Amino acid sequence: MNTYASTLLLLWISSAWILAEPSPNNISDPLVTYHKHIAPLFYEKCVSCHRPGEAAPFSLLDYASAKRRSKTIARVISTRYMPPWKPVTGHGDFKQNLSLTNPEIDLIQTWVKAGCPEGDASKKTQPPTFTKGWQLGTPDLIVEMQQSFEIYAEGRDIYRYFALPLGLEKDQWVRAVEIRPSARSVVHHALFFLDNTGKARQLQQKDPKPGFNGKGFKSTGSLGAWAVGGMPLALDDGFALPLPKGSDLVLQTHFHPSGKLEKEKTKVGIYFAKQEPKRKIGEFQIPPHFGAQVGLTIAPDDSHYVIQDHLTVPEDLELITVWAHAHQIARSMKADATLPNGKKLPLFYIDDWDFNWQGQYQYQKPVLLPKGTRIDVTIIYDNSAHNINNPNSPPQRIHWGEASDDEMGSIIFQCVASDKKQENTLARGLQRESKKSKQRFAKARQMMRRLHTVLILDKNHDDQLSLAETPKKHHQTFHRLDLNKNQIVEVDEIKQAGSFLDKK
Amino acid sequence: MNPPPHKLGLASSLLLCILLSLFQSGINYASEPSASITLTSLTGKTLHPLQKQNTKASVIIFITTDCPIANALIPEINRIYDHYKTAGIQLTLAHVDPGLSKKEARHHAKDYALRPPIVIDTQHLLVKASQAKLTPQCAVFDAQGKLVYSGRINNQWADYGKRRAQASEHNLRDTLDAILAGKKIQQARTQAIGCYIPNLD
Repeated sequence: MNTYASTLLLLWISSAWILAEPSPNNISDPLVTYHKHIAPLFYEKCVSCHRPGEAAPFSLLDYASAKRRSKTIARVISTRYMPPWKPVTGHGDFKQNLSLTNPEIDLIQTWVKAGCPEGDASKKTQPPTFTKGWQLGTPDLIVEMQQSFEIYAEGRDIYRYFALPLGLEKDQWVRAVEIRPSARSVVHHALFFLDNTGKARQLQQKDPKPGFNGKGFKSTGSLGAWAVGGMPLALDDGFALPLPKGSDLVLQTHFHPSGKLEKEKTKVGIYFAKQEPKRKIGEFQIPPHFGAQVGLTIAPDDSHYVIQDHLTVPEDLELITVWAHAHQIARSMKADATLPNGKKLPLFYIDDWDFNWQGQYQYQKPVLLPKGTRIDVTIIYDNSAHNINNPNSPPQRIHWGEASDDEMGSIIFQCVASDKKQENTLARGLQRESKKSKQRFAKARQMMRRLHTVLILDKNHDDQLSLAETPKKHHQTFHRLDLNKNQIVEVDEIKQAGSFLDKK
Repeated sequence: MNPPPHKLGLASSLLLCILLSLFQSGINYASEPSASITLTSLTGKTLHPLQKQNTKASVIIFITTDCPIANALIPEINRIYDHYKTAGIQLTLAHVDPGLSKKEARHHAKDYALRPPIVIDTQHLLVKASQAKLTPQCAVFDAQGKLVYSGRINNQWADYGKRRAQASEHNLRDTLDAILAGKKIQQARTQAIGCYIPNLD
């Protein structure tokens, strides 16, 4: 071979080599190695939890640990159980998204299938350095649970409220809250409520164990939420949440029993904004009050119970964060916006709701919704035996309620007015929308009651009323209801005759 | 044309061999050496986890110190051990992480108040005899040393992160009850959910 030909061959080989460099898009390459491809990915997406002292059961900081768990890793990433990230891609763009892309999942699978090649250790990526202790620096205020709460080794998950007096003598503005659980492997999520009525403290004092069960408590404010896997997240400059003086912080903590007895004494760090924020953060829920007015009652074995509500944006606003709350049998939670020009904008979607993984999601950039935008929320519940999260076996009727075996549901947004001058108008408008929603549900509940009253006479349970089933004294009413004169009163006829019955 | 008789004989014996090997792999008899597996427990006792003498069945449950599902089931493992130990059922816990030190294993046993005898299966002798893939998978061998059940302890976990409030099937207990009552075992194999057992290097 002459020099020219061999140079060409060399060039061809080297270019082929470059082309064959494994990348997420080139997963068939056998040269996927730990040090070159896998470690950087684990450092980016996994080790915020998978490192010593954090909530995850094992560390992924070194090759030997990663290799030992490789088959388990391959399995849990294939079902997207890990890394934990519930929002569906394409429905809101959020900060701190640790989920793996499909090519990244393929890359890890390729590595595991190839027997976890280590690669060149001399070229390894250095693990990230972690801030010890408080992740956002020293908090302005640190409070701790007064007594440890004991979590049994085994049994149902525990949801417990803890009132922590803050001792604030003047109003503050909060830009971040950070939680440091002492038993990290059992603390699954925490919601940060406020109470300036003293009610939570009273309930706590009455309870023989540390904390209280939450019954009878109504929060007077919120500082957000935290779930395992989530890092503390500060609001962007210029935003802060109000913390009125005299408020207690009320944690609602979810514990997962781990197989051994654990004791939890949570510390919470609060970071204040230096000054009153230029823009006030407002909050709205769809449906309002976690769906308390919806009249939610889910029959046993109903695998597709749907609640829907909507809100019309009263002034131009920007969405900052979103979170969803429901209990155990919810299956999906979705919010979509329709802009005044008719354009659809997906805001939030969890298609595999898991009570265990509820967190607050902060939009990458505030989402502008012009006045007149309609936000539609749909929540679907599955009260069948097929739903693994069903707290009852066999399934029982489930009503709206605060206990974790009851159900509720809404999607909660935090927002600011686009124009500071419209802040108060926006707040009033959001209250009006909430009232409208309550009225809509009140009408629906009335209709349900009406149906119930009429169908009480339905002896053969065919969901319609025949003349034979109707007592003689009601025959005149029967004929007025029977609009199509077929001697049967159908459900639709009862609905149409609603106003008539109201008058009666 | 018919093949010559000797060729037919060869073909049928080959077929017989294949069928036999299929049959054997299908019923999974534990080979004789399994019964003689000898390991030292964390407390220093010499154990024969798969011995056939004086036992109606031998149970091996595979664990690691850091598998959350295996750990969460420890209270139930303790109860099963207590319930069946006087009925002639021998239950042994086997750590599958070959690099685990006795000190770490003892610390874990104390932390979780484990009551059954524990061994570290450094060479995966029990893993191989049980054909176990996951922790906390369990394997039950009858008095003849035959692997009669392999799978989950119960169905509390339906998948990763999918946990029933209470298990509705208690597969290990059902298997042991069937053996003690001399009845047929209803399910010889179930799918365990947990952490994959790493290969030995």
